[in-house]
Amino acid sequence: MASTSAPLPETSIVDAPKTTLTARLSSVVGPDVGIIPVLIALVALIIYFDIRSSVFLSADNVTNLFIQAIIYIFLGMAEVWLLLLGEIDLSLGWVAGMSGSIAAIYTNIQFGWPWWLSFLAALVVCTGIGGLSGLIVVKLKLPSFIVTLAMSFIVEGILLYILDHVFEGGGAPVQSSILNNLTTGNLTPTWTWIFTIGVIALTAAMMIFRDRSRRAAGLEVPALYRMVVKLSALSAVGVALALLFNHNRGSFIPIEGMPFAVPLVLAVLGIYSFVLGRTRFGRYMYAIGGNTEAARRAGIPVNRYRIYAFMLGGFTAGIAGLFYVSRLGGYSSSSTDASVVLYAVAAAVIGGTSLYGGRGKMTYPVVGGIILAVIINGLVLIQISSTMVFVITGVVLLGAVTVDSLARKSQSLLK
Amino acid sequence: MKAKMGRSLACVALVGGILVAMVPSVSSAAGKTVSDNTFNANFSTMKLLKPITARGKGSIAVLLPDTVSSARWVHIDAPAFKRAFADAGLLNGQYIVQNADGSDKTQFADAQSDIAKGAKVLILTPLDSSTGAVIEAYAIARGVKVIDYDRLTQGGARSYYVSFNNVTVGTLIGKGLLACITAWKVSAATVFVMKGAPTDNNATLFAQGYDNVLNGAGFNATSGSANTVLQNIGTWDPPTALVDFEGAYAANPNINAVVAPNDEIAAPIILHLQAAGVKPQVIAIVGKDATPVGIDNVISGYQCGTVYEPYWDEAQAATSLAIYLRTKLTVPAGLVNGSTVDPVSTNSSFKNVPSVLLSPEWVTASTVEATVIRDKVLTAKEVCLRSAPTVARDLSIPTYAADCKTYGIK
Repeated sequence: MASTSAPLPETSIVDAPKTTLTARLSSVVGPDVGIIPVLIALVALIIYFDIRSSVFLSADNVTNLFIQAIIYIFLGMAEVWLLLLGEIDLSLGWVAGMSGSIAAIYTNIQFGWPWWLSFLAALVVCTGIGGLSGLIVVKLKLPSFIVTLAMSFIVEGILLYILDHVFEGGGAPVQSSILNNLTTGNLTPTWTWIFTIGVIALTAAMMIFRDRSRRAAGLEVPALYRMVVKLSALSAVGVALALLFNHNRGSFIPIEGMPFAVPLVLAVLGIYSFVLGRTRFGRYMYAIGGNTEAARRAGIPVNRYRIYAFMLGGFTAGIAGLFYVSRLGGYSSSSTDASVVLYAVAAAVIGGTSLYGGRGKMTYPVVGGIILAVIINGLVLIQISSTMVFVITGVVLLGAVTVDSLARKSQSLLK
Repeated sequence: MKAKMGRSLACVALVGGILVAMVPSVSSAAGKTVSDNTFNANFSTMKLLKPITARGKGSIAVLLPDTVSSARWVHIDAPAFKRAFADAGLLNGQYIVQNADGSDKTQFADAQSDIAKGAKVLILTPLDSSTGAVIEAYAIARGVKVIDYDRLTQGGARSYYVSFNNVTVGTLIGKGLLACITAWKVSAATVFVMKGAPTDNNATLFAQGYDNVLNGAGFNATSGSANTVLQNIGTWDPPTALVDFEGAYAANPNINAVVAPNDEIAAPIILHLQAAGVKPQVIAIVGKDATPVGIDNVISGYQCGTVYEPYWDEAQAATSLAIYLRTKLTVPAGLVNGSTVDPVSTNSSFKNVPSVLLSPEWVTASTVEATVIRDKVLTAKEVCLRSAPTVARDLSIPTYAADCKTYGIK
């Protein structure tokens, strides 16, 4: 029944006594019970900022907010690959910068590579850097904190050198319209609806399919109202967002439709969640993170998978970098990246990823990233000093980790 | 015998007298030829310092602040200093140019190690006045002279201050914005006023300049008003500035003019507006530094203009002062053209700082060729061959090559 590694099968949650509030909540969302306080915090923040500023929920601002959140979301997803194994990669901020710079440099007129080749080059280099860190951690048996810290200095130095010398005048401006469109392009309103309804339908289909297959396998099935609640919440949010995005937010020319970035984020989220939740690769990741020794004795090639995790972290940071350089219009030694990796870890952890490994899903950094962007964006709108962003982010992070830890402690989990 | 000795003595006296008479004219001749207005983009006056260099001892260390507040430190100042030192006759081991990358600790550690290795003059651009003052006190205690470069260290102990008149820079920015609002017929102008980082004394001086101009033209840059939106806290960091702008613009969609503290901050803002479909010469934005991106934005009609400061003249002025300070010679009067008051200093010897204050220029699209290109800061190729990013759905926006033709840039 219950295995030694996370995630816990849903049946044991249903079996738990339904007397406590936590248990009742967990009967609705399953092992994701820790995410409820986070979602409540997100909703509370949104309501607060909406009251304080009439512009917060305007179409223009919400679009800005999503684009601002992207760097935290993607870097957070990158860190989750590592946090699942109880590792961390502190170099990913600079790796993202490296990726964006390479893409901007090779699409520049001077080199004139096609966009897909530049993107590929950027992602290959970043995966390579991640792999190198992983190799050092595994072969030399050094803590990933130190190895990736060292790597972050090395990558920073190399990147700044490249940026100062590749073009006259320094810096690498974005000159490819594809790279530019990553953050400025939009779906048409029709496609926005098609996409939204498609996502809701797909999620519904997946839930029903999972229900059926559990029934067929003879396992206990969670109550139907759980699925209904989840689907209604998802539909409500999806429809609200679609309406908001389709609202004309331009003041010079009509601008409508969901930004390209949203389906791209959801696509990556979907693929990664599938890999983590439905493939052997994903199960091995959780196993190694939950109990490395047991995984090793069960025959899982732990070292190899650790390196894979670092490579995936680098690859995802590469994706983050493409969006980052697209938003800024270029990369130069003026675009610092030292603290963004810490925000990425915060995003992953706020959403509920455990720093000790074995627990986390790709949806967590998405929620965490959105919370961070809400805080930053909201504080600018209500004209609170930007230095307060640090304090509030810290408080939210502390609160999220504490609440999450308390919520999970009340379940009978094997640690 | 006596007559012969007398004649030879007279000869010696005559020759000696002529030699002695020549000496002051040699040193004053060198002083006369290097003065505050003889610097140029070809560094041609630097070689006149060679005899002075030969009489000096010790090395010169340049401590630049960071790479974020402006592109100039890495791309213009560092190479300019190296060239000026070399042209003035210093050997490789007699000078060093360093960048503290935004860290106070690094700047202090660099200063300490430079002094330990024999530096007799520091040329310092402080990151902030507190650490800058500590560095200068450390140097003075060891007999090392300091020149404040571009930024004044308030409460510091430096011998000279070399800079542009920073309030003038701000005034040019303010006036440039007003001229643009008229030229581009921006009606019911609502300005978003931004600033550089509050730790940078220069940012405060620039703001003083443009705030004054704006206040005199019906805006309220001190406390905000219906037609003036203020940024919360100034910053030199472009991503942070972009978030600030996006928030301000979402809250005040009638913003149609922006004072950006430099070109690197104006650039992502312009990009954001281009994505929103803004056409050229609609929203008035000003910047500073005449970077390649800035010039491109200027000639394509998205930026009104930029402040062009011949930084290499600044570097040459500081180099000249440093070369004199290495010797026991007095600095020629023509090299210094003003005095700056350190508002914080309580030490009478450092309150009024002899200064070299150079003049900045305002560059618009029609004057790019005559300033930036002529002075070989940027080449026409760099400026014209970049392709413009796509303005939302409008393929008729010309590329920079066409803009270059329009303004005669080649």
